[in-house]
Amino acid sequence: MSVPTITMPGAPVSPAVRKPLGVSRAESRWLLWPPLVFFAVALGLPLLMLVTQSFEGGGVAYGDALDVPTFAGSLMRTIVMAVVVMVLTVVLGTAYALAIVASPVWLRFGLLAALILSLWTSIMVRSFGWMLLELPQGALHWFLGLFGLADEPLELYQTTIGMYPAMVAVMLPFAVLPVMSALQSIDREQLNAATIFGAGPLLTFRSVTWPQILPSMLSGGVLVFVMALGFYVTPLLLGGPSNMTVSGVINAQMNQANRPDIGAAMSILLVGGTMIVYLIADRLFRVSEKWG
Amino acid sequence: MTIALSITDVHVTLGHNHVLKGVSLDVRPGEFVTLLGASGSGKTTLLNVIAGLQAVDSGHLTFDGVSMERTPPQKRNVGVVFQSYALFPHMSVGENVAFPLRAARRPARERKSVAEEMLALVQLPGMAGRSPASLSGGQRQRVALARALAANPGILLLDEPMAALDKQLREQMQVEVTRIQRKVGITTVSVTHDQTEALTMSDRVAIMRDGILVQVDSPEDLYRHPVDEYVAGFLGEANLLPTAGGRILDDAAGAEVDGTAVVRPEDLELVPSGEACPAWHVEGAIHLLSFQGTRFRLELLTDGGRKVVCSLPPSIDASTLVVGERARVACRNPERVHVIAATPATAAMVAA
Amino acid sequence: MSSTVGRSLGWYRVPVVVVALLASLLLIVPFVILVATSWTGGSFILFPPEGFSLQWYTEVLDDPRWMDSFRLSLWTASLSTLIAAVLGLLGAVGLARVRSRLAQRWIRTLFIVPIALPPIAYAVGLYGVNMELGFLRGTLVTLIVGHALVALPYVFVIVSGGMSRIDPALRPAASTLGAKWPLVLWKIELPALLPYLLSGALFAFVVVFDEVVLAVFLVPPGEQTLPLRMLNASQEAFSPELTAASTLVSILAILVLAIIPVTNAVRRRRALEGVTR
Repeated sequence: MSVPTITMPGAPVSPAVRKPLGVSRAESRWLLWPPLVFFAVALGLPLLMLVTQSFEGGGVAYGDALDVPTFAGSLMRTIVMAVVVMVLTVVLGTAYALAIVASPVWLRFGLLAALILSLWTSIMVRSFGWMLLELPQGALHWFLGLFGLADEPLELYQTTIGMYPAMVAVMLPFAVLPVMSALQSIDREQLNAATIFGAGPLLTFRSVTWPQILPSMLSGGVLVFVMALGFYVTPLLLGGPSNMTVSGVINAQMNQANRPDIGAAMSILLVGGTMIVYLIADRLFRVSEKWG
Repeated sequence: MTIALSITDVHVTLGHNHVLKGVSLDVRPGEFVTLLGASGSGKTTLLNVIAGLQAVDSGHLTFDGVSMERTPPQKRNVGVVFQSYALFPHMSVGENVAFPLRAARRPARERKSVAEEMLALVQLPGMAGRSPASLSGGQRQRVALARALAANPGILLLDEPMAALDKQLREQMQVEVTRIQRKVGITTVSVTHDQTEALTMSDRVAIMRDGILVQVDSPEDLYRHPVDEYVAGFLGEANLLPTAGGRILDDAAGAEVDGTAVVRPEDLELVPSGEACPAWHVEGAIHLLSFQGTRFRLELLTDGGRKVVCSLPPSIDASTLVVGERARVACRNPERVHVIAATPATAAMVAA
Repeated sequence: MSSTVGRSLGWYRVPVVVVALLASLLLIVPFVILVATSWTGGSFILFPPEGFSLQWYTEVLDDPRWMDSFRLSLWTASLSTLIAAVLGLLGAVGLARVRSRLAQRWIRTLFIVPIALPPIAYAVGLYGVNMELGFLRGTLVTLIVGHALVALPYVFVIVSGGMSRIDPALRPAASTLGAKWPLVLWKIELPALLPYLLSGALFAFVVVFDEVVLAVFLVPPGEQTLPLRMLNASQEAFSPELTAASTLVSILAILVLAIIPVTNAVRRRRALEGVTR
């Protein structure tokens, strides 16, 4: 009845080695073709258009793009902004995820509800909320006035300082969710082991929790960074003209300067930069596999 | 630095579930006690109570007479081998073993030397630099054991230590763990649902069922003198047959049954049809005969519809045993028959 | 599990929870203010609101321009979601059948890439397509297709998650019983994936319904999707009408997405009743 199983030490059979049985080639081809064709048309064609448009003048558009005075500044600003937002979001998001799994049930419910509320409502609507908060005579001004702290109108709206909390809030769910799922699948016995062998909270966190959530923090951070590179609505509404991002400059080239070739060249640079960052990060941290 | 463990009338409720219903157990210094029971019997909860991972509703727990109920797990100085081993995957084997010393803020040199000493003890010398992922199951278990012993704990707890190993390795590791435990001389409490493991490794085995300890005894006493039918059936194969006046009573209807005889299959032998039968015997039709290497396993079906299992030496001539034919089996040594008296709770040591 | 993580933090749990509570204010407060300004009785945005009235809601609901935008958004988003749902499902199911580990990784990355795609650059590209192919000019085709691409990753990710929870032995088991692959897909995989497809599609719908950057470039003159109308309104004057519309859109999104937990609860209850019967 019990046939002794022979296992090779040190060579665990990974599920990936097992071939899916009973799969015909035709089947996988049929299923994957429609979405792949769709990608070729819906993603490939616009990108192709960008490339041809940007090279209409024989590549002059790229030189012109770099000469647009606002472009270089906005490029720097966008990258700095994306980095700052990423760091703040990951730090806050990790604390948020830890708090969700570590708090009593009623508090966990409240924290989850806040997270889901902001995940489910549109970025634009949330940015409107921040505008109302930050307007010179806005809600924050009123709130400070309650304590007698607001003599003059608030100078927060359409400033860099005023832009960051809103962007962090908008991006926060994307940093919380992956860390939360990593925390939920953390090995309980390892936490117990650390406790049993005398480790305090800091050592336990450093030796068990941290290494198990770090990959998710990184992939959440990469996603936030990449999305922040393409940020348009929130900086437009809250940052004002002095805080224009690359997206804003592209929009200006298209709709005001009427130079679609420069807009296309800038778009190519933006898409290219974003994709390079994303693909490198994807190879390094397996970002795509953390989703789903 | 081994200690005496004493548990007195411990109750634990998890949610609406009364998991431990008044458990008392004393373990002598250096003794190896195994908690044996089906899943859900509360054995792991009891282990967690000793480790400090589970608070008790009431009852007492002392190490060497010192009360431990209010002591956090970090301060109890216990070593645990977890079911999954719970080795820290991103630390080397040496760092894993030295972890308890790191938690106690011991100097690096001491950590290194203790790790090497412990790895030598579990026969993995020179493995300190390896990563746990590169080890086999048996090696991981040795590392987990080395880590559990590294801080020189007063008591060692093993949670289903063999569950993750395959059968052959399991037998080997049972011997190995026992060797190390004897060598270190540490008080050990183990949890398992594998009876062979319990019998092989322990000085005493505590049978748990539904949150209480049914019987705590040496493996041999448990096997020979079970207090009730549950223990008898739980440990090894047993024929449980009604008795009256020192005989097996197959047709119990109308007769005065005074107990249940526990007869182990290996204590039964065939009685040729011409011979007179000893007092402890039973007759039936051959139902099933199978060859299992070290024995023939013979199954009789008595007239009363009971199944009787009998182990016969592989040297016998099996050709005479035909399914459907009648056969008699008997136990010649009345000492080997254990009778559980019919009135529950009083375990009579009646023999013939 | 969570209590183990909580215990392992020791007293550090307190500062962590305090930080999280402050962060949750970032999430909640702007929304509360937005909603509060919409029920003002006055005609200007003010916080705290003047009195209480639902006049701005009736204003929005009675205004044909808002309602036209709402209808436009509704049907274009539905169409985009439908495309994304079908293609995302095919992608998730098809990907599980790809044997090569490497190919699997690349295809997976491809399906997720639209999340990282800067919307403005993509919009400029689609706008170029519109200009180049004259027959598309003045139509909503590029908007719908673009939105479908943006929505696809959400469906794909959620359905893939469901796919990994299907017992991998089921498919070979079914084929040894003589089932051809369309039957396996239809009778075994699809029923198991349906809840995931539903939640993926609903989430995708909400994302697309709220999307504004593509709409800025691709909506033909004379028409406005709801988010586009809201963005334009915010650029002109911030009125209680706008915050009322924002509140309505948010409530709609919450209601749509609340379908998922509710249907799950109903299904679980049905399953339980089935057991007890």
